[in-house]
Amino acid sequence: MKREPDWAGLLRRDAPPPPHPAAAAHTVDLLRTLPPPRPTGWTFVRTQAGFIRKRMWVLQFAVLAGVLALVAAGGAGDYALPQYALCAAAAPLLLVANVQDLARVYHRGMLELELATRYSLPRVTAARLLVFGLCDAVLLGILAAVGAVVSRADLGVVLLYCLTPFCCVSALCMGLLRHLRPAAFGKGALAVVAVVLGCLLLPVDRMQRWLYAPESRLFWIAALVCSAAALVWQTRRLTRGGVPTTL
Amino acid sequence: MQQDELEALVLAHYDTIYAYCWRHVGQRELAQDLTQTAFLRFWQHRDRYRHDGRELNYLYTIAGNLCKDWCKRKKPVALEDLPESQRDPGAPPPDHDTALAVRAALAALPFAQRNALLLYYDQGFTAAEIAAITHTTEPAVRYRLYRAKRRLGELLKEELP
Repeated sequence: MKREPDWAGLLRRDAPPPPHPAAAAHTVDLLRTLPPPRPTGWTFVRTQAGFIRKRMWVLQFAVLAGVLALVAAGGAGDYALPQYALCAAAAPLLLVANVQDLARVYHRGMLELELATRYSLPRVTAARLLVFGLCDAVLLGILAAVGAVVSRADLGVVLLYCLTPFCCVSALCMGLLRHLRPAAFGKGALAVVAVVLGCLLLPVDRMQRWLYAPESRLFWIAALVCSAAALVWQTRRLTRGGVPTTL
Repeated sequence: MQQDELEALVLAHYDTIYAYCWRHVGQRELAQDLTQTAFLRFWQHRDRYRHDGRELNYLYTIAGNLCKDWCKRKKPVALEDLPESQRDPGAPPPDHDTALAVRAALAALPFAQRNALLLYYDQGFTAAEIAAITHTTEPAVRYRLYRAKRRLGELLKEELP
């Protein structure tokens, strides 16, 4: 049987010359001069969550706690609304804190943020929207779950009642964000929330019954599809239409 | 990975990556440049690191790609073909023919075969690790090794026992 040559030994006969004694140290010095690499993916999104003001989170959870208390007590009395109707009306309130913070990001302090993250305005806005969206998804889930348990309704139906006004208000607020000046935007967003709340809470008893009747589910589904499409469209315009800051 | 961890990685593996690059390009200064670039790219693109193996494997992937790019741009010149003034000052003078013959034979191999041979016999990787480093399969690595050894055997017929 033919013996395998000693390939490793053969390669060792032509040993490489040693590198310059300072070559490794020079590479280390060069690496020290490099700026830290910019964060990517989820790291970037996580760092963005750190930029969001604490009061926004506090306000979000305060709104949720208030709404849950209202939902828990909502079924009492002769003229009381059903709990899932309260959930539907309360869902847009979760956006009040979000839109104010998003407006701050969109209109002010972007140079500071862009320098800190070395990302463009559209990317920073998109990351913020993702953080807000994930947080709102959790809060809406809690709201819908509590509403479904308290009113003994189907979770999917309560989720439908919560998501529709939420998406509608989100899409409208994003549209306003691009068109209104910072000072007017806060008032405009509050007006949108107030209008949607009024539409859900103020109709007379007969109208309320029609709104939450099983036959009206198709109307809710259609409204959800339309508002979700509008939300996606507005999100794309917001995250792609931003003008990068130039130094 | 933090900056201090990278610095420790550089100090620990600089020589092995340098030796690997030198085997491919055959010039000390160029091998040092490629080694430095490999560490810089490793630091810049470490977030793209998706190997399941060691981080060192990723470093070898980068260094291998740099050497491959260099080999594509410029054909390696055998040492004996270089004029005296262009020879690597850091390299020990080839005191016998075997070293020159090995270097010339290695330079004559296609990059993929030479890479597999160097990683296996010079750097001590297994075929599975080489497959991960070169983004190929283990049978492909074994075939490249087989082809490389057969070709080297032909080229170094007189040097082999």
